[in-house]
Amino acid sequence: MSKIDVLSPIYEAEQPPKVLMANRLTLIEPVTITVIENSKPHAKELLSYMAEGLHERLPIAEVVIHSKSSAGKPIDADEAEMLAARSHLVISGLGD
Amino acid sequence: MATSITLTEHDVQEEFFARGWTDGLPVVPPTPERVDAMLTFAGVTADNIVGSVPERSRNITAEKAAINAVMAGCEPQHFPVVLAALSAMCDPAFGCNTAITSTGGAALCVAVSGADLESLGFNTTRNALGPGYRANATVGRAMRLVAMNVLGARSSDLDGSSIGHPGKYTMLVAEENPPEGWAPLRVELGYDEKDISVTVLATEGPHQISNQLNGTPEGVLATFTAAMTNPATYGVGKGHQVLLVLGYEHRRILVEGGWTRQAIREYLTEATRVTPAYLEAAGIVMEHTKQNDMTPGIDGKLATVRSPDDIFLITAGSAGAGWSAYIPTWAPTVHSVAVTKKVQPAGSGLPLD
Repeated sequence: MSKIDVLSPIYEAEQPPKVLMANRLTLIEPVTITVIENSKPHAKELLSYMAEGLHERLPIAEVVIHSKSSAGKPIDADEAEMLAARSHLVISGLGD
Repeated sequence: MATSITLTEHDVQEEFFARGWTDGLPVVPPTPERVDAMLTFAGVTADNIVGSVPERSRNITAEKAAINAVMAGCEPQHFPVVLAALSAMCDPAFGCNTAITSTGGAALCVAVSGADLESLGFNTTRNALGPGYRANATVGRAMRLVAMNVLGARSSDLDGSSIGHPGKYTMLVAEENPPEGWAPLRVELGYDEKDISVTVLATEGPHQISNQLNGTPEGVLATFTAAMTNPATYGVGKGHQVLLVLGYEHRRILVEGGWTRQAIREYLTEATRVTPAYLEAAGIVMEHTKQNDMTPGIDGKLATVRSPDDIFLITAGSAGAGWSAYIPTWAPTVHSVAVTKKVQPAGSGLPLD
C-alpha cells in the first residue's frame, strides 16, 4: 500500500525562554498583600475568607481584595502596574 | 515548519483519531501539496502569523491554519475566509481564551456577508444553518479544528464545556442579499458593498423562531422579543450580543412594513429589557459581582442587549412557513464581543487589522 506524507496540525512548541525566579526580598513592615478575585459569584467571599486567614497568621498590615472586571480576561498592564506599586505580594485566585 | 509523518492513506484516519487530532469525524489528509495550495491561493507564507492568543502563549501560523483547513475539507478558495475568521477570533476584544474554555460551551460562529457568496459555494438560502454545503460546513469546521489542535481546546485539555452543542463542530451562516431597501450586514458594519466580511461570535446554538400566521411587523417582533428573553439563556438581563437570522417571510413582513434595520435593532434593544422579578420567577438569582452587576436601571429593568449595535441582523433562509433563528452569544459583552474582518482577495495575503 502506498504511503503519503501528512503534516501535523497541532501547535509545535518552541523552546520557551528560561524564566528566573524573582529576587527574594526582605520586607519592611507594614506589608500589603493584594488578592485578585476573578469576579465570579462567590469568588470574592472565598478569597476574602482566605485573606482573613492570612491576616491572622502572618504579620501583614493590610490585605486588599481586587475584583477583576471579567473572569475571562487577564488584568491589563495599567492595572498590573497599579497593583504592583501598592502591594508587596499579589495573589491571584479564582472561584466558580 | 510542521512536522511531517509518513503513513499509508488508510492509516491516516486511525492515526489522527488515535492522536486526538480530529473533532471525531474523519478528515482530509493534510499532505504538503494540499497545504501549499491553500497558502498559495491566499498569498501567504507558512510562517506568517494569523493571530495570537497571549494567555496561551500560542501563535496561529498560516501553515497550521492551512493544515487544519485541509483537514476540515476546505477548498483553497475558502482559505482567505478562514484566515479572516481566525484573525477576528484572535482579536483581544473577542476574548478567545475564555470563549473556547468556558463551561458555557460556545461555538465559534461565523457570519459571512458578501455580494456573491454563491460563487464561493456558500449556501445562503434553503437550510441556511443546516447541512449539505461544503463551504458552510468546512469553513466553520476549520475554526474548531484550529481551536482544538493549535490552541488546545479539547475536552481532555482546555475546553471546559459542561454540555456544549453541535455548533461546536461547525457553525456558519452566509448572508442572502437582503430585500431592496435594506443594506447588507457588511455595509451596516462599515465595509464596502464589494467587500466580503466575516463576523465571528462566540455563541450558544441556534434557537429557531416560529411565527407562521401573524403577518404584521409588530407580531413578528413580539415573537423575536419572546425568543430573546428566555430567562434560561445566560446573557438575558446581563447584556450580551445577538445574531438574528431573518428568514424569508419575516424579513419581507418587516421591510414591507417600513421597518429599517436600525429601527428593528432599537426596538428589540428596548423590548428585551426584563425585570429582576421576571428572571427570579424562573429561578434565576441576581448577580452583583463586578463583572455582572444586575442592578436594574431607572426603569426597574435589566438590559438583555445594552445597545442596538449588540444586535446583528443577517438575512438567510428560503421561503417556508415563517422561520427565523436567534443565536445569542454565550456570555455578556464584558467577556467577549463579536469581531468583524474583511476577507482579503485571492493572493493578497493576511487580513488587515
